[in-house]
Amino acid sequence: MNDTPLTEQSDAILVARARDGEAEAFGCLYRRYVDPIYRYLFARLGESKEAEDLTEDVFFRAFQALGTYHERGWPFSAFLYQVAKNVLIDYYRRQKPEVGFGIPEPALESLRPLDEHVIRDEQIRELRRAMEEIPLNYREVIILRIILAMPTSVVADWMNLTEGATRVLLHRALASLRGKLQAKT
Amino acid sequence: MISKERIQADILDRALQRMLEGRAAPEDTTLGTAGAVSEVRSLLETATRARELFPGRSPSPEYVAASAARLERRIKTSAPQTARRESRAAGPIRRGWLPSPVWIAAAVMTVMCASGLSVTSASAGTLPGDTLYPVKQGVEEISLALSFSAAGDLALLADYADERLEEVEQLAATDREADLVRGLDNYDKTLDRVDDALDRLPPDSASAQLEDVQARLARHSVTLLALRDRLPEQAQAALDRAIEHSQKSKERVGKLQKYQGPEDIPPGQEKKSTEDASSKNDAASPAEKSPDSDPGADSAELTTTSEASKTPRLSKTPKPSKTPQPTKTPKPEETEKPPKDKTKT
Repeated sequence: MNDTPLTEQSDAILVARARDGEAEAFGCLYRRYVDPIYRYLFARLGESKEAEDLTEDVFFRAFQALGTYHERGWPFSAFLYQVAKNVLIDYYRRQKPEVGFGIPEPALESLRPLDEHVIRDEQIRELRRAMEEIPLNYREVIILRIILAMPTSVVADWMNLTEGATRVLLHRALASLRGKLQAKT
Repeated sequence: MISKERIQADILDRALQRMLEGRAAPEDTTLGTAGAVSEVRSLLETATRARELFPGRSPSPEYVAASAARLERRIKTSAPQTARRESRAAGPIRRGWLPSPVWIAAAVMTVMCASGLSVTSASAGTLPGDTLYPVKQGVEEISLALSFSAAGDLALLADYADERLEEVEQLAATDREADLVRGLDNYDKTLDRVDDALDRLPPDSASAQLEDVQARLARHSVTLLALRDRLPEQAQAALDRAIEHSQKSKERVGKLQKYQGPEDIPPGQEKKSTEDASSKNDAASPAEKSPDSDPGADSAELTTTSEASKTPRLSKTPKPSKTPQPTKTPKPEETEKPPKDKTKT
């Protein structure tokens, strides 16, 4: 009899229990990974309401697809990330093509003068356009490593790369983004 | 031989880590030559700008609590879709049923054979959206149903993936945009089935077959990447998905080639092995050596054991006793988990 509380169980055990229909086990996985998945979606969408809706969608679809998840050195969080990307693809398919990369809502505490907001919004638009012009894997590595501040090792897991490959990809991504930004100024 | 780019990437990552941890910027002397200092500083500025303009945001505790409760309710009324995989794993003969296209094809074949026409020649060159295309799919399904092993399924499905890609290329030369998207979706679905067949392969599968499939997938990636500039905007999302899927499937094959079982290889070493396989494959497909392709093929040497072990991770490793409270999920960089045994040399 395993007396370890659910919250201290490994992902593999929780996944196995969730596969057997134990909703609480999957709820535990949800609480463990809701933060990074939400933050990723928010970084891609820029809207908290949409990010909330899609986050729930990601976890529900992940639960439905648990049968297709095979561990084999592939972390569960990376599986969730793949589901999140698929959910985003479906979301964009339902939207107009230009809705690609949202402008983040201003934080409530940032009550700046109007002209500062205008300048900031323009900078964000500029950055957003530059981000849209770089390849998708460049965009992803910048979001995960820079905006979400994830460790290289986690980014590597999520993107199914080695850490060395992730570092090189990030280097190229930042150089590409810098080039696009310089071309706009 | 470590390239200049890889050295710079390594230096940049270390400097970036300091920046993300709120520590002082690294000394110029640690960044290498004057040229490298200037380059790394410039890239750090770009990173800082991106970070400032796209602040991360965590979900509110109220949302997490309400959403978790909603999710648990939803999943209590549904079940994971394991049945499909289990039935597939049981093999085509034991399934006891045939997919509907088989019956369609069988019916059409009967009618067409009766009228003296060759079904194969009539449907072979058809494309998605053509009247006879379902016949072509049906004929393929029949061949698949007559395959008695995962290896047999894989061989057929690899051929079908080639065929789907050829259809996409032909449709790209037309103005049939809806059919083109359908063609890309068909390719994606075929790769799903390739993945499925790969998962069912016995551990002692012939490496020659895996090499063949991997080489095909590498060619697919190159072909799809070359299509990027030629396809209309509405097909780009489907194309991106197809490119990503072909690369993932290729990596999956690479893992299978090296995979010896969960106890034999630490999880982290699988990627190194995959990369080795990709490197070999890259030699056969020069287009994949472009900067936009997987850069890992020439960068594994930079990864050190000490670095891998000191980085906090979000991973599948068992949670330590300091597990975060359900309502306060830690951010990835805050998550204190034991490092994975991801030793790379």
